[in-house]
Amino acid sequence: MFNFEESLKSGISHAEEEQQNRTEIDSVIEQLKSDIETFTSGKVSIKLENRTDIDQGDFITNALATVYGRKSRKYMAMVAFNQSPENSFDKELCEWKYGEKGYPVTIDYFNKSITCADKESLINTLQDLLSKPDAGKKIKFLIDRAQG
Amino acid sequence: MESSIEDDGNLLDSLSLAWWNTSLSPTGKVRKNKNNEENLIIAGQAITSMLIEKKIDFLGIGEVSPSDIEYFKSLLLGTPYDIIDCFEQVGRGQFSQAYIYNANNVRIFNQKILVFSELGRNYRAGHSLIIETKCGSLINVIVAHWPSKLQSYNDTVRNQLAKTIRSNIDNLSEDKVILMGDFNAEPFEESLSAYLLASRDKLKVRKKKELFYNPFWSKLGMSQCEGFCGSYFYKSGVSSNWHLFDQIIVSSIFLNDQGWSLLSEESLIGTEVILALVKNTNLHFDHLPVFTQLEKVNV
Repeated sequence: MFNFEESLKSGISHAEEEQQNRTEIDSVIEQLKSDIETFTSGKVSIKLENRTDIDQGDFITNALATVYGRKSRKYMAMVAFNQSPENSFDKELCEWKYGEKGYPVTIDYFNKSITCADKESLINTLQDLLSKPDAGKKIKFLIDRAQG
Repeated sequence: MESSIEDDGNLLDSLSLAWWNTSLSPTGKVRKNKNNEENLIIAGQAITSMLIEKKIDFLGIGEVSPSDIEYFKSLLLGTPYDIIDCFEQVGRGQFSQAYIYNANNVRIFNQKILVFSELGRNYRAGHSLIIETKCGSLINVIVAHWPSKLQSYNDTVRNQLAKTIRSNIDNLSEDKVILMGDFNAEPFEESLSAYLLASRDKLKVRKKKELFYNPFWSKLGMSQCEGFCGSYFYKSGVSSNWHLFDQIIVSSIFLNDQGWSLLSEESLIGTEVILALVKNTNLHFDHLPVFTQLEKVNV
């Protein structure tokens, strides 16, 4: 005799855990977004969006894809962008990958891939990302562009 | 650092890979011992003879410091071998590894460190490199040195490090993947067998491309020379002084005759010279190197 009750219970429990984790992760992203907007006087904001390698316009990546017959890769990225519609520049800050239950969140930036198992690690990693010259240059570029 | 491959007209029909935890500088910083220089010179001799005798194209070395690397660079001047190091700081520790490679046969053009972060602490999962062989094949080589068994919490951490590597591999378009290093875990332990999915079963791995093949499963017993039964010598071991922590593991494609194929019989542990060094209690050495070889297959 068998039944699927335990499987269903487990599935629902995992879905609830994922929802809870996603809410927590969203709150971190919201805080980051709010801090960037305040720091840049509303000129720059951030968002997560789905991208492909081609979107990035990376010459080397595209050339390699052509030479080795590789398909373009789809991924999620955290993107910083100008707020005003007439200045639509954006810069990719990192690649972003959710885990099966929301966590772990894997963040790829500047030759690093950090897999964050919880909120504390996620915050530390985002702080590290923003403190790097690479991220600083991108944010500065967007501020300068917004100033025209 | 990026290198270029000189075309000498010869085709590359095999690729020889090796890993050695040198034990020279465990934290990536020079030890505060008197006989460091002696150990460094001996390690340099062991490495150069290994490169020549085994015709190694790519050698990962662990527990080295920047000054160790400077010394090895001086030894390799005028040879086809180049060195790339990895001393990235991660949390309170740092990577302490480097790669000696034959620049006539391979080049390294992409690198990324893989880190697992939990409760605000960061752990080194591995260093991911894309290497290109002379014939244009791209291979993702991940070199790892996982935390030791001295703290029991590290058993859980190693499982997470295996998951971190798996997740990184699943995200890549490369299907040629080689994992090498000192995993501080035997082939049968959960981190390698259940989380990394490194199997002993060649036939199963051929059919399931998500599995890895770990040729070092077959090295768990006593060596033929009865001189060792593992890659790591720990003099205070309870039931065995030897553990098989150093391994080279390959993805399924290397068993399916697609471009490059694993020569299982060339997956070996140790050299006579380094075995003698490990047995000499006056020296730092406690690991044997591990080797494997890939053969070019016409498809």
